[in-house]
Amino acid sequence: MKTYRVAILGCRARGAAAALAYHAHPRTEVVALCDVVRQRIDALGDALGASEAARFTDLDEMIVRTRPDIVAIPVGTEFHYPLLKRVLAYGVNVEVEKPICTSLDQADEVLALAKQKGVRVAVHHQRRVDPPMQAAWRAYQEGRVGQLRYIQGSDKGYYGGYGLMNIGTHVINNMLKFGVRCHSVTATALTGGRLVTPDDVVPAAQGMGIVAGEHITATLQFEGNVTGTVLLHRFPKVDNTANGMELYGTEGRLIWRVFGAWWLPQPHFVPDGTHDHWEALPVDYPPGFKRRAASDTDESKVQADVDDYCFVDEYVNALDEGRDHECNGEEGRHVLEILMGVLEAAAYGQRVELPQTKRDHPLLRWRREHGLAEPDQMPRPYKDWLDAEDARVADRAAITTAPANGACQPVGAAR
Amino acid sequence: MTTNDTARANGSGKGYRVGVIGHTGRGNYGHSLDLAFQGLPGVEYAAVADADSTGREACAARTGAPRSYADYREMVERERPDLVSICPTFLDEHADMVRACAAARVRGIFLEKPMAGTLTDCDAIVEACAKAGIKLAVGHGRRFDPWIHRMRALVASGRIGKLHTIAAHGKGDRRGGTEDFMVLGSHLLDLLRLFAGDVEWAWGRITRDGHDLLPADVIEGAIGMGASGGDGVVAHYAFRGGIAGTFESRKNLGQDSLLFGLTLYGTDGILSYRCALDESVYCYPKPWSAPGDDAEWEHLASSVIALPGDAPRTCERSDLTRNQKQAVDLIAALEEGREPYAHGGDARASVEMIAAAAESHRTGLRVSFPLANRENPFERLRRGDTAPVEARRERLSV
Repeated sequence: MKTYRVAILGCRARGAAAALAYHAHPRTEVVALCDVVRQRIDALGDALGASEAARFTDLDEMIVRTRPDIVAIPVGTEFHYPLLKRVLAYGVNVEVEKPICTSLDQADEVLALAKQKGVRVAVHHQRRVDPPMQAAWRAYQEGRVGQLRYIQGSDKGYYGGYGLMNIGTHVINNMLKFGVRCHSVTATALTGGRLVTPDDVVPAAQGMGIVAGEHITATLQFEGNVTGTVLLHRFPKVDNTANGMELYGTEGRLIWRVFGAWWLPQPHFVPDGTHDHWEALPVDYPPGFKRRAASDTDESKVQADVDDYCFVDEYVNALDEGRDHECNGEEGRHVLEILMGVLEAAAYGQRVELPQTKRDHPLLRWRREHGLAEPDQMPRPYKDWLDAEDARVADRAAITTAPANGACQPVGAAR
Repeated sequence: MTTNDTARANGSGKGYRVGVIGHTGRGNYGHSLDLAFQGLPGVEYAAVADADSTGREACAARTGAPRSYADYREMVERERPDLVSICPTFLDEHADMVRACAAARVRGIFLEKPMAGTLTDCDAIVEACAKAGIKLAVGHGRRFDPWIHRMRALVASGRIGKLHTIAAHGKGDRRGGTEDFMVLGSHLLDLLRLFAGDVEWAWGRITRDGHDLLPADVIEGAIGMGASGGDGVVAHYAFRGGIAGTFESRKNLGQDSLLFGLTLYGTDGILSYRCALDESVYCYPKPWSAPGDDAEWEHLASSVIALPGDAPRTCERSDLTRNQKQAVDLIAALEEGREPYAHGGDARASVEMIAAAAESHRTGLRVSFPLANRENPFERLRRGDTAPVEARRERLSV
């Protein structure tokens, strides 16, 4: 059976995680590492035992020389669009870190190029194929929840807009595994306890695009009478255990967390000692991997992460079978449609129908309509970014007494 | 016992004559509202009105009212009662019944919930009572459940940290969807406001058989609510204090009613209140619960939770039914010159929350409060006054 040759473009933490996963899988081989910083290449290359010939600082040279089957692009979100275009031009399959891009017009262009080149795009939403998710999926397919009616998901407690792009993209992608397609979105975004205004549109930390909202609640209308709610609320302290999804069916419920999956054999949970017995679902881990503990939040591992490994495994199977990855580019774009829909719905106070006909970034459009240019740059590291944002919100609260949503269109119903 | 006898027995020097309005076959005597004043000191039943003779006689026998009428207008005009129970669960006669009471200068009304099917009728009811100086109590008896107030005390004490979200679920039985929203949701929405204050704006979505409710899906709703429709409702409310609220109901989710209730989410914990269970408040010591966690739900005991000072005085009286607690509160409101604890303004607000979800569905917009449209949104939907939904239908048909 074929061993797929993989090039890693970007050797920071996510690049290292990708490299470890491809290195660990018996059907893939890391043939190249590339980064603009030589020290990062060498640190990762030494850990993997990569030869000098596999180390590059120029991506074009890397692709030409090593002719990989897959190029992994585990880099900051703002670099996805230009790097995807450059890599796809070579006609090679890619996997890109989530979310696929920072705006829909970018994603459209990238996927059109992939289609033109006849190659596959996978978006690194690894939670969707992790062992607990597979356990939940099996239970779902066995009909243990009956007819699905409602899905709730939440992130880890990041600043809402940043959490939307960082973890919300996983949450929504996970929900799509069960909800399949989302046809409209509504949302609320608050910053400093009031509805967001165009002034609150900011560049996200870590280059994750343009966002707004410290606290976001979004409702997703899936087809088939299924509704979802996504909570992206800033907590005093980020908590990985808050990240999860709950499925409500007519006969039972399912809970997914990165550290397990559980089934409730009746539709209603009441903590009365009778209706609150969650049954842990059996979770099958690949050989060499074990159950993740709830407290396991360390992302600086020297071993491959099981979720990343499962993502690689799915890609191998997909390529073997001549099909797309479950987390393929089209799915990644639909996730981005929902992310952009959430931001647009929160800004304009309107239910947003998907897919959107306007593909530019809705928050930048919103600012333009209010005579505002793109927002100023902010620090890239999350902690520094948060300090800057808190200072901005405090300054604004001190200098303005304008009514909430003052710059927005009125939201009252038409007579 | 005469009115004067009951007044003397009460020691208040006051006596109250009660009239009952029911309508057998069209809402009957909802939740035994006709008996709300029975046995209360200083109160006597004067008369009953019901267009149905059999129902009328039965009610007269139950209440001990010496006279009965087929026409409620004649009853209130001739009897001039101090207090009137307006009992039908059907909504379409509520406004007319209140107007008749206002014309007859009654002093207090105990009206079955929900107040009315449209905001237009709600406005008329509130206005009529205000002009006539009538104290209006509406049958949102959950406000008199001591557990609600113990939960308020817990929230105020910081037991669950800062309250940020309240999730409400209807019964989800055969009435799931809009009927559940109106009949039982009115209770829960009223409670949402008790915890979170006034609503700033709302979203809503109404579905039928898995698709968005369309003009052709609008039907005449149950209990005289007028145009209605849909077997699924999801609504989101933004309260002025920053708290978020949700309501959900879908048809045939089970007959055990366990879902019916509220879940309060705070930054440090969760409170679960299930209406179908007695002594049913549970607390979780973390802001989210997951199986496999080391925390456990605690079944709270009433003895350790003091009521807040602003709880209605009757709510802990075990000698009274929930209706009687409200009736006593209504009489006290009259004597103290204050509003009843479940007054007309609050009742109108819960109907407004229901209408807001429908209006948001109709328009595709986040709708702000107070609602500009006081007409039944379903009626406008039926007329095709709904460009966004029509646009969606076109898209789905592609």
